Amino acid sequence: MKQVKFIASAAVLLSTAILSSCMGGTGISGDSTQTAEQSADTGKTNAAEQSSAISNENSGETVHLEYFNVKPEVEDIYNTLIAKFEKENPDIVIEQINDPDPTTVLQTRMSTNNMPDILSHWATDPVFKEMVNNEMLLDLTDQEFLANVKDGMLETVEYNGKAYCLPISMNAAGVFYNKDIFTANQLEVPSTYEEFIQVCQKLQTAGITPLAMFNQSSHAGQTIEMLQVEDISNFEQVFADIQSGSKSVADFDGFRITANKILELNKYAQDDSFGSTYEQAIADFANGSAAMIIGGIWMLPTINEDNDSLNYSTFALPASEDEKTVIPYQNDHCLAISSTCEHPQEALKFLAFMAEQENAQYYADMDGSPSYINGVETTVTQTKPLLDYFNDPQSLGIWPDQIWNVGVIDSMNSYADELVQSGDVDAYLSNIQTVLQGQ
Amino acid sequence: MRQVRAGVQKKSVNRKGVFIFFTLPAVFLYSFFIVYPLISGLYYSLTDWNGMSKTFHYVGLDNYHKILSDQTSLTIVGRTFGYTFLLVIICTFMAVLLALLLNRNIKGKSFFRAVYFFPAVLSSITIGLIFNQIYSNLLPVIGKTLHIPILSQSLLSNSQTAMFAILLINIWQGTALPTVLAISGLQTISNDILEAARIDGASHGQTLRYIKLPLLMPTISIIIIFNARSGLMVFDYIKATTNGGPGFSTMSIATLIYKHAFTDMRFGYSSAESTLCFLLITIFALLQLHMSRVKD
Repeated sequence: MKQVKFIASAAVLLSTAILSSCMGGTGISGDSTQTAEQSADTGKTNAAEQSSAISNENSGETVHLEYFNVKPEVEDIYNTLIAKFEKENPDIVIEQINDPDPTTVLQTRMSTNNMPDILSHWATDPVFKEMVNNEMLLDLTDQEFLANVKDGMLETVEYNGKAYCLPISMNAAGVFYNKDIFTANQLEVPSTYEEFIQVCQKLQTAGITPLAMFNQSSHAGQTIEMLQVEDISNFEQVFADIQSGSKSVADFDGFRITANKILELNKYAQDDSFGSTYEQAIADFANGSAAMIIGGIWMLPTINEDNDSLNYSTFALPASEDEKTVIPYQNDHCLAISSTCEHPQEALKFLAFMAEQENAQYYADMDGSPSYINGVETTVTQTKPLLDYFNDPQSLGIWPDQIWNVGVIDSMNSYADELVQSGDVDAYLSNIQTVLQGQ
Repeated sequence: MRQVRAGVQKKSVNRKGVFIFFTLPAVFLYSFFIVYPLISGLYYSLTDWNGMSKTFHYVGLDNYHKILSDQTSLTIVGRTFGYTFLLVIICTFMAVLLALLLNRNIKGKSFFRAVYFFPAVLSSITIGLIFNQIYSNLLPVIGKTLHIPILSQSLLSNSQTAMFAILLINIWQGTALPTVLAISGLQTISNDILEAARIDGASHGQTLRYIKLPLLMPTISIIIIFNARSGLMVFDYIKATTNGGPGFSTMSIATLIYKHAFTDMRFGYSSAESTLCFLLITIFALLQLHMSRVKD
């Protein structure tokens, strides 16, 4: 009988242990939900959190913060800046998180209420809008460091008059070209789309791969967006009309023109461009295997890392004759703090550090993108031809995916891949009609 | 006498209680990891929750209606079934064939068994990444050297061949465990029966057809269910190689559910897809079990 009691007790204890270990997970989740709600109720920087942070400082404990980076190209730049910040603030440790698929991982963490303390993101991105709408980010409107943002620039990343991030840099996109290859083949920088195709033809005839494309990483979709900015006038209204059902994709010639252009451009890509990733294509360009690569100025750090002696520059992807060349742009990345961050004061310190002119200048020098911070000049010469377009607002168009809803870009990219594989323009137009109307 | 019987009864009740207590950990774990997510998924499938918002709306069967009228989803479901069919047929055939070969008295039997079992101990993501390199860097070199157009570029970068390339990876790994199961199944067949058949003059073919295969049927049923589940839920290989591309050409039911949930932020919709997938697999498993019982 004693033995039976012993076994029964052991079984109950074992069950309880397993159950409590499972509940431990939910307990944490429940706590963080509560913190999120508390933060939302009390206007994010609540007194309890501040006092907790202050008590941490007073007690001399080290505060650990997690920084989730969605831009793999700038990992090293942030490593340097974080090291400098930690030297100035020995009581704060920032762990930078980089993932091969950062957006998906971040969205998964968002859905499980497991937000990082600090995160980089794109201030006009549909997912960022969702984070703002769902009170997942700290309201930074009253923070002093935002005064360092250039006049009129903060408004471009605000939501209902409130700032939820510190904008760091902008991006633009065009064509990177190898100056040595152009000189050796007596080629001029093209000013129209037709001239651009002639350049590609000459290079191909000379046995040089004209374009490095990374179709395994949705390059077709990205390039179509760049073409849409030029070939579909007033496209913000166009997308709104398609979504509302008042007009269809077939009503605008620009969609067919851009589809045909992407098919034409892919004729000048390297063999097996669908087997090439973003990193591989940049490496092909950096080591001289291809003369050009279409993409954004965010590629600059990776190109320099692959070959720091490459003689290269950029030009805008030119529009067809009689059309105005327009380049796509957007907020390249910004820094935000999660509303569930347990040490908001320390996180704010890091943002203030990033808003300092000296640090922002270092970032701009390394990244080559235009900065939002006062007094910071872009010194990189390779991207200057693209940045000159920022002097004329009429030559700039926001990336179309910034207008679309969450998830639309993924389907648009997949249909762009299908178009390049099959060459069936009509099927592509029909498919994107479904996606854009159903978004 | 009555006292003795009462004592025996009491002891039996106590033992039952102990056994019930011992099932509690498994019941808790099963409830927590299977039953709770299932019910919760069913609940969210009736909503428009996007995975982030604190508020969402009840939409009834709207998500189910949309799935059944979405041509892309239906194409992907059809493709996954085709993939599963091929996987089941080829893997089962290969497993039985290899088991028959490895069950004979050949030199280095243990070595060969270990070699054929080796893929089963590797993670599917690792295998996917290894094959990605083989398809991207090794096969194109062979293809170009031998002037074989289809191999001159990565099989994964062509929408016509990519799904077959993934199927090949799945077969390579998916045959390993069923082979071991089939070998153990063959070893349970009594030597007396085989010897009696031999004395009666049965040929190798007749022994295989009338003795080995019928007695191996319960094992083959398990292999079929195992591979069918693996085929219907194929995810890792696709994620490690093509991520569903080019276009939607290698998208499977599982990658579609993942895409809708974590990329498109349509958790309600993807929960409805998961529920339908669960029903499909349940129906398949029940049919398979029913058929194997009928055969028994």
